[in-house]
Amino acid sequence: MTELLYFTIIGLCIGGGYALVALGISTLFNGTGVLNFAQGDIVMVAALFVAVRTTGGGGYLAGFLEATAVVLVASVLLGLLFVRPAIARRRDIDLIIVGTIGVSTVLANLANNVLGSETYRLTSPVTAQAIRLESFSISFDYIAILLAAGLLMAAFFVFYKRTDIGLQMRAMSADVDAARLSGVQIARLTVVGWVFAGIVGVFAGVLLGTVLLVSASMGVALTISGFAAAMIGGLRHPYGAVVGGVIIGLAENYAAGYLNTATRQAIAPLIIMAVLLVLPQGILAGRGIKARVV
Amino acid sequence: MATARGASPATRQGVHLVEAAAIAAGAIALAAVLGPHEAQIAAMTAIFALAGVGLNILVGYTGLVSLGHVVFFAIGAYGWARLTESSSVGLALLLPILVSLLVAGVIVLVTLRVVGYYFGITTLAIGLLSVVVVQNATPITGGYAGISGIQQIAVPGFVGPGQVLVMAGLVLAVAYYLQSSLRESPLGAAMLATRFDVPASQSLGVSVARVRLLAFMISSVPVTIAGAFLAQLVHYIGPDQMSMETSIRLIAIAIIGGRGWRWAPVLGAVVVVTLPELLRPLAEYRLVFYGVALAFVALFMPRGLNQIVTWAGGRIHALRGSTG
Repeated sequence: MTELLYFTIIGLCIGGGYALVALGISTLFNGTGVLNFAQGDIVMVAALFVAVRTTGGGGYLAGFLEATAVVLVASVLLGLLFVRPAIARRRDIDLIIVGTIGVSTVLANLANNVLGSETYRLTSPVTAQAIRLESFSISFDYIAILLAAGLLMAAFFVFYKRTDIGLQMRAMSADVDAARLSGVQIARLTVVGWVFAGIVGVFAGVLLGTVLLVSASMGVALTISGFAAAMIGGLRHPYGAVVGGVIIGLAENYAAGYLNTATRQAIAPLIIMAVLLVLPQGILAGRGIKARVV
Repeated sequence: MATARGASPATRQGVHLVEAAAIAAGAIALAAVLGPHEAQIAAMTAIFALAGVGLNILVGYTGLVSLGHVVFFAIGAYGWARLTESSSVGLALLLPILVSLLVAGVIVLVTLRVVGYYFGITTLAIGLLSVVVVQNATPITGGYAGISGIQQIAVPGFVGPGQVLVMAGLVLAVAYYLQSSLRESPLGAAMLATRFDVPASQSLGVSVARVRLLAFMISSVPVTIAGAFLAQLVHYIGPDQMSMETSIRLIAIAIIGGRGWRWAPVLGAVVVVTLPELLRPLAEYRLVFYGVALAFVALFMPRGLNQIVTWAGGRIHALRGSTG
């Protein structure tokens, strides 16, 4: 029974991390119409960067700040690159998929060459502290993910509802042409969207990195988990990602705990297909929402 | 190359036939003159060009991006490796193709209701599932250790990788011809119609579901055969060759070549497979190179190499016109 409780708590916390990956994906998707197949690799870059720094004797917080700087520069560059596809929103979706896949390949292999191909475990200042649960111990790292994910989600909620840029992004998400006619600077907002996705990615990376094995090749699996979480919630509903992330986190941990690691790897892809078959609109989709067109 | 457009259907068929013959002749000539190492690279290029034909039909004609075609590559490779242990060569080629068609059918049924991004996500999930299966279905795939000592089809008069180059070149020529003819056929026209406007094509009586099913199934066949040739070429098949990276490389060939263009598979394979091999000293940055190429083409050169060729053709034409 405590075993089940242990897997549930761990799954819940990791699910919070997946929700952050999904938040990065849906922020960009809703803001610019670009579905980012490289989000997992942005998360990976942050995690690997901090892991390499802390293994080399650097501090966790210093590494976090440096990783933020690296990802910010990368996000601005990517944002500038993707301005054109965002302006011509009808631009071929196949090219956007391939373009972000290209970005993902570049990030994964650059990280592999520059930061190294070893597998790391990221230690944070709170890794050593743990809650005892009979024979199990749950590191504070897990709790930190849940807390940070909650805070970030709340911050985004306020941002979208209360700030001018948030309003503009929602306008752009609803209708690019109408937003442009109302004076929204589409190009500038595209870059802003990428920067937000990058910031969320850094948080996801430094948090998830403490509980998952970190390596240059982890990006694709994270992207898939993020997609799965975002799809359960419905890509248009950023907060549905929380539910989605938690479902995947739980399913993966039960699979790893009671079955084997191979099943764990297969969970996110299987969930994606199940969602497509059963609930293609996502579980939080209300009635009256237009059929999916993208 | 430029003569095909605007010519009569019969002429175009003739042009495609000549071009296919040129591909076959080129492969045989290369196999005859190249040393073992160069022949290996040329054979690898022919194999990926063959797989690229499948992706070119899918993404070029119907606009669907599949990131999961590594599953067919794996079916072809492991099917060949396992079946040649006990049964005939014919069965080792045919059975995997049937399995691929079946799998392709199931994938289309799952993805019937989705287009665009969701199709991309689902196929990415399928690719990842296939990687997990390859790594863990040890009785069939040998797990992480893979399968070694795979036999190849013997071609009299040629040795080593040259044999695979000849075989792959011949199949590539056939696939090239069929691909080019498909575009001229009613089915090809229906595929192109669904790519550009689904409601309009439906109003003309095109069944989008059936076109998509056929396109996906057709695209799986060359990839499966290419997998079998890859197993023959390197005599070993393992998870390294059947990774997501391979899946991305397959789609990269069609996109960089110029989706839908009949030369895209061949030229795309040259860029994605041959060029990085020739740049050996920069081997570490091989994958970075095609990631950059992929993103660049997708963002700024949507018609890929086709765009360069058309542009160069236009320039030459203009120069000739101004001097003459």
